[in-house]
Amino acid sequence: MEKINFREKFFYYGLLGFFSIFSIFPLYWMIASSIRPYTEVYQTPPLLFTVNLDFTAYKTVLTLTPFIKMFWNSLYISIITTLICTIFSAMAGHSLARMRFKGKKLITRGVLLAYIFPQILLVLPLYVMLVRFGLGNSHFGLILTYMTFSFPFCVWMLTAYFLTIPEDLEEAAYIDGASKFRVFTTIIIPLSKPGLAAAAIFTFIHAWNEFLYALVFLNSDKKSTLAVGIYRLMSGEIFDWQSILASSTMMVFPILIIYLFLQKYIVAGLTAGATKG
Amino acid sequence: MIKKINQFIDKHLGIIFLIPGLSVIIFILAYPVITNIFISFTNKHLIYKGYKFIGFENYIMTFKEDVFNTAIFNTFIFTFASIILQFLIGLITALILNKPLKGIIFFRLALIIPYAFPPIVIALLWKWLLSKMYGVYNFFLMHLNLIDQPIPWLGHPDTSMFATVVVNVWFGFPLFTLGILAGLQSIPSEQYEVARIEGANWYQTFWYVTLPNILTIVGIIIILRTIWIFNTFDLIYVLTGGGPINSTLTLPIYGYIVGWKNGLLGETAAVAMFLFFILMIFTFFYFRLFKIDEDQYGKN
Repeated sequence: MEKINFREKFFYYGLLGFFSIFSIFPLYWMIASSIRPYTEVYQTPPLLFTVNLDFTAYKTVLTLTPFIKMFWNSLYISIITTLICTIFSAMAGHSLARMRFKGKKLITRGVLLAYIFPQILLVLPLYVMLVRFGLGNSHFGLILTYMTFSFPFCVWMLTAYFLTIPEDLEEAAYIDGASKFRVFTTIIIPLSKPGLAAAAIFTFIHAWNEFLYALVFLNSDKKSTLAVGIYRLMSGEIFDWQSILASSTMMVFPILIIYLFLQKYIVAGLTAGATKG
Repeated sequence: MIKKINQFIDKHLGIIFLIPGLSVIIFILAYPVITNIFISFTNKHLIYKGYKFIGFENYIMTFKEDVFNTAIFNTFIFTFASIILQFLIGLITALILNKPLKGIIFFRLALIIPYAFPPIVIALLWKWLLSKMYGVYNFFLMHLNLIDQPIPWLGHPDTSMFATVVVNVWFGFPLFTLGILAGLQSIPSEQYEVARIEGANWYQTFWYVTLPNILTIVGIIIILRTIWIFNTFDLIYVLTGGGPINSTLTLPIYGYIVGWKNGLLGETAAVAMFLFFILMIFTFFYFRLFKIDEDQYGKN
């Protein structure tokens, strides 16, 4: 164990303190501004600490806007996308990591290219196509789209993860006469929980955060997701910072909880890709 | 019969497992991508009906636009400034978090918080933080005597790119912190022991022991982040809309404006193709640079 002297300690804590304030202050300020009386929000110089608690902004957002409906829309779109994407990419990842077949290289490259393509500029042709299939203004169309955009990264990550699992276990199972499908469900899946969690978190957060596609695809407030809802608050007639900050706080909250409790999984996928290399 | 089906499934499971995911991807992506390539050679318009084939004219027109060149320049500045700063802050914080210090868990939690923010919230929140009138950062900077009067960080062409990069660095450095930290923790302590016995000083230790061990993870994160940052849309769109005076106009914003505001779908498609090719070159280059095998799954 290396020894750290006082001067070094001072230096390290100084840097950590600086970067921690840099990263945490916006969160603090967002919450602090959202829970004070309206008049104090626009006060100059700003009040650094909230003394008089006032939750009017939250009440306004929850009662006067379809926030709860949008929160629910975002939540269920994200969950369904996550389920489909994680299952499909686990299957594809397993196939690419373990099976031998023609055209594997082509598929690998294709998935990589799909990942690189500037998705944002496909919004119009994709929308036109979905409308043609009767999926315009539908959550299902959005779910398929999100699944498509997360899939390449999840496959890439999970393939790398599966490759870190030693093949001996599977071979023993094959000798015992297990089918490939059984090996996948009873050996690979249980051993890959961290990788699967990483893929699921990535997909969930992408779907939860996505803005442009939801803005273009869904054209009614009732169907809208949270990201679009908050944006509409800003571009609405009453530009009220406090409502924006209050709804932002409520939108960040679920993700923050995921991060604080599941942070080790976020790197699990990345490091698997790295150690394999 | 059932046995036969089972045998068939078992034999072709590799392909069967690929079908669900790939069919969704092909259904959703193939048509728009192919349409996009096709449209990039036509003069299709958002509102006017009908179009004709015009060869490479969209590409030529796009390259002739001054605004397009500004957008290329801005995209590169935005991407590289963000990547370099994110990497440096990530490296510094990861190196310190790897030390046996008290209270490290608290700092670790604090440092990953920005990464939890959705782009739309980041953009709105930072607009509020950097606002000229009510912005708390202007207040701090004035209090510290660093500036004389409030600066409209996002509203002035001289500062808007800088401010946008700061926002993006704030959001993105935690991924580097977490990734590099994971890399550091996987280094066997024997390697440091050997370096110590050999009498290596701190930068020799860093150069010959630490760096080679984290190179691959750093490489992977840099590749992923370059692609993400290069394609950043919502953050910049809501933060500045590409302005003022195009000072934060990047290629995705440019492509979007050309298509949706000016209605020139052909040119938007050409911009998309251009972005795609740049990223392909980048990715290829990075794979070579960091010696990551892009066909790692093609091996077995």
